[in-house]
Amino acid sequence: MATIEEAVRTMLIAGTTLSANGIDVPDARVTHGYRLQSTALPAVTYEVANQAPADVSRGIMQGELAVTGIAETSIDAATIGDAIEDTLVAGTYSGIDIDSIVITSKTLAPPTVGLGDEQEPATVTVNATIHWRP
Amino acid sequence: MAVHNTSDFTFTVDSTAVAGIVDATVTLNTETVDVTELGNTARTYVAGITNGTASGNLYYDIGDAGVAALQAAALSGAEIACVFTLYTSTTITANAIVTSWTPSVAIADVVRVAFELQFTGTVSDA
Repeated sequence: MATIEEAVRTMLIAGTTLSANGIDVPDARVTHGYRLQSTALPAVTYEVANQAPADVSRGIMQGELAVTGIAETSIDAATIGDAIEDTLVAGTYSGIDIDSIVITSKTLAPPTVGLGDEQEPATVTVNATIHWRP
Repeated sequence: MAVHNTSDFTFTVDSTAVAGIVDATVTLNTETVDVTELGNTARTYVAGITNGTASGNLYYDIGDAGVAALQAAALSGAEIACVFTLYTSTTITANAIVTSWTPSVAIADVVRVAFELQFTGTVSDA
């Protein structure tokens, strides 16, 4: 049986919403948890935290989904953030019924440059509460 | 003493399971009649009429037959047959009237319903 993480990735890469939004994020750059620092941008990472039963018979699960878009500029990150929101559509993915997706916040963080020679890319994080039936 | 989790909990309306129950409470009451006499130094009661209620919250999905049956009963006032299976083979059975049906929505939340039932007639357990 597929996991909710597999289902969320299937949802994120469905169609061309992310992969052809103007700031294209190829499917291979949508990864769970983290991305390697040396890999190409833009990219998207995601995680599902606080997974817990949401009803007493445990037919429905609830979790906090965080999807982070990473790009070189904040404008690019903002564009990816809009695309991420468009991908979050309830439906059946990898055999799991995602019943509801309630977007609770979106945070855009500009790139930061410190005194050293490293630059952190811009990020946009979309948080949502999701309910699904395994 | 054993403890039981809620993984086997079910709530059926006219034999149709209701999905998406978030929480549920069944309250069984017995009225008492004061039979204290003059000269008594302590009050004395005898059991009177019994009654019961139930309440709970669920996710509002009218596509679920059980939720639809509850809403139909709330609109019509029809009596429904309820069975609460608290855990395996442990049930409370009663006919009931839906006295409150409160769908609610809020920002950053899913649609829920709070419901209240008034039992009518005998309540049985098994």
